[in-house]
Amino acid sequence: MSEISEAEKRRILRERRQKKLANGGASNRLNKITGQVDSHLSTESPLETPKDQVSPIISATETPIPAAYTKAGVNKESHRAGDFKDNDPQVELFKKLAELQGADKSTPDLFSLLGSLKDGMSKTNEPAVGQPQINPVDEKMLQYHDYLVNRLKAYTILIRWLILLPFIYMVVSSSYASEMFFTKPSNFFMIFTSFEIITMSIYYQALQRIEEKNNVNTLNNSSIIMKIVSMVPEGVLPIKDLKGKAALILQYQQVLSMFVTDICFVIIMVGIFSYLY
Amino acid sequence: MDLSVDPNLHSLINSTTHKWIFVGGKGGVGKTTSSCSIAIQMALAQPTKQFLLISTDPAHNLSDAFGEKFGKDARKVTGMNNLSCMEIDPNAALKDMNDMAVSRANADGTNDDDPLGGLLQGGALAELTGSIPGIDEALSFMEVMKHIKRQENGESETFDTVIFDTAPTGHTLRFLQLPNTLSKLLEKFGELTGKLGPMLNMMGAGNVDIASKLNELKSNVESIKQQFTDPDLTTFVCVCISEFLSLYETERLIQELISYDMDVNSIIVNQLLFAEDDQEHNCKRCQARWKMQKKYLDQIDELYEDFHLVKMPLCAGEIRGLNNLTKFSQFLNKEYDPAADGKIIYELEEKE
Repeated sequence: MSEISEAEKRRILRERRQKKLANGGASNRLNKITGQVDSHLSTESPLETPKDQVSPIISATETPIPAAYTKAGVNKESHRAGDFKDNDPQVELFKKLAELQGADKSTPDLFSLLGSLKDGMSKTNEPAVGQPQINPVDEKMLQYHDYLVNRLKAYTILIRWLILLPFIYMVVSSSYASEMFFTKPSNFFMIFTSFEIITMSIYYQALQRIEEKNNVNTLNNSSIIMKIVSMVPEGVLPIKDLKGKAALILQYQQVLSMFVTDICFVIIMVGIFSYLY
Repeated sequence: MDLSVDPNLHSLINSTTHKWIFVGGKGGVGKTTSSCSIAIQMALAQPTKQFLLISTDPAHNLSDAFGEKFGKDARKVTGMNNLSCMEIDPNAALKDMNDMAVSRANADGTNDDDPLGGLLQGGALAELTGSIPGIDEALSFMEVMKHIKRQENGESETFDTVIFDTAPTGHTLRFLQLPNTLSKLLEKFGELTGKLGPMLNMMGAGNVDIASKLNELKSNVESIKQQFTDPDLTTFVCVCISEFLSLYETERLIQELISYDMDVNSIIVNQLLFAEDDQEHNCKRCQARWKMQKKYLDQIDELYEDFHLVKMPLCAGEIRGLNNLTKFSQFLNKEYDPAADGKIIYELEEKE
């Protein structure tokens, strides 16, 4: 075989040395050395130490390199010693700093900070405003409740009008000289008022039952006035329990409006029946 | 194809390509003697070239080895006109840095009442930086960079080859790690200054062009890194003795160096007794110790068959002074033959 140059020989020898250290060879060599004297020294090779572990000799971390090193002799450009020192603690620190600079999401900005602060404040302030807050109700539940209330209202009006209609007919059709208690015109207003009070009581009892069942306060959730009143902070107006009072007024208004509606119905029906007979 | 490896450093001593030669190993195995010997042999073999021997060990031994005082500036060894030595004193270098900071503060017309100025006068900077771990290696590295810069600018005497008498293993590895660490750090600094540049300018650092300075430093460090990992330019010579701990540490050192992509192809096994060839001065203790050394030598032969394995004798006296070092160093160029060269180990001059 032909003579090889000195440089070529050096390169071949270098590759041979690398080969002996690759694929667990490095640890085996240390094992061989320590095994002869039963030493307790570490046989973990710096070449095979995982990146995040600290080498016993130096305080910086090491990374295995055989793959890169086997190319070393062939190509000088493959000498990338820097690749093996990625985990220097100082470098890690600067990496983290750079990441903080680069990644916006990891850096809490002023707006998100204010947002979270606002959230926290609104949460803590809710009970302080004094709202008798019902448990959170979702939108569908509210819609269902409204449907039940409206249906109750409609049935109540229908039933009342259906009862009132024959009563009005009897009163109008019977002569003025009727001596019957129910058909006597002078007794009409007393009977009508009593009927109104009874039906309204029944209506409100039924409404209360629905509210208890659905855990929804109809006034608080459906009335715009109640919503406006609840926005007024306590102490701004010189009225104590403004919300409670507003709720009471609204309830009276509801009762009155139902009563007025019934009176209107009675007047119209009396007019119609009087015209017919 | 002849792939046998010479049991000497003849090829390294006569190498014309090597620019950086590191000599290192465990403490007390003869690193300084070996590095001095390599430097002397190289200087003798290549008289037209200039060699520099730098000690990066904080506890310097070069002055003692040659028997003359060397300082932070390169000085020729008496009796040799192509070999210079220098010892980097971290404390002196730090004092220089401190003095520079003080003079700069004074030149800027800083008030004497300035607390920072007062601290600097008291050498606070030197004390502070002196306590940073690894500062010795960093300063040695800075010195190497300064040296390269001066050579490039033609400001000082140029050296063809620089031989490093390194500190014990841990220190040396940190020193060799510096180019990597620095280049990574500078890379990150570059990214940061790109982002923080405007802010730094606002803070009054605008008159200093940080980015260009960092880039300059980075290119210097990169060039050193490239040179240190080029096997034609840089090599590491391991020195050990034929004992368990030394062998163990040498193996780890070699593996670490390979992980840095550094070339290591020579091992000097120092302080060997060769007792069986020394019938005249033989003793029971020497025989026993030589038996132990042989046990490890066999292992070394087996483990490092692809390395230049140089077996050096333990001399009767201390190897100090140029003459003694020259006598001893010849066995690096041509391997020691116990039968023929045995008498030389008794011929060392006694230093008074």
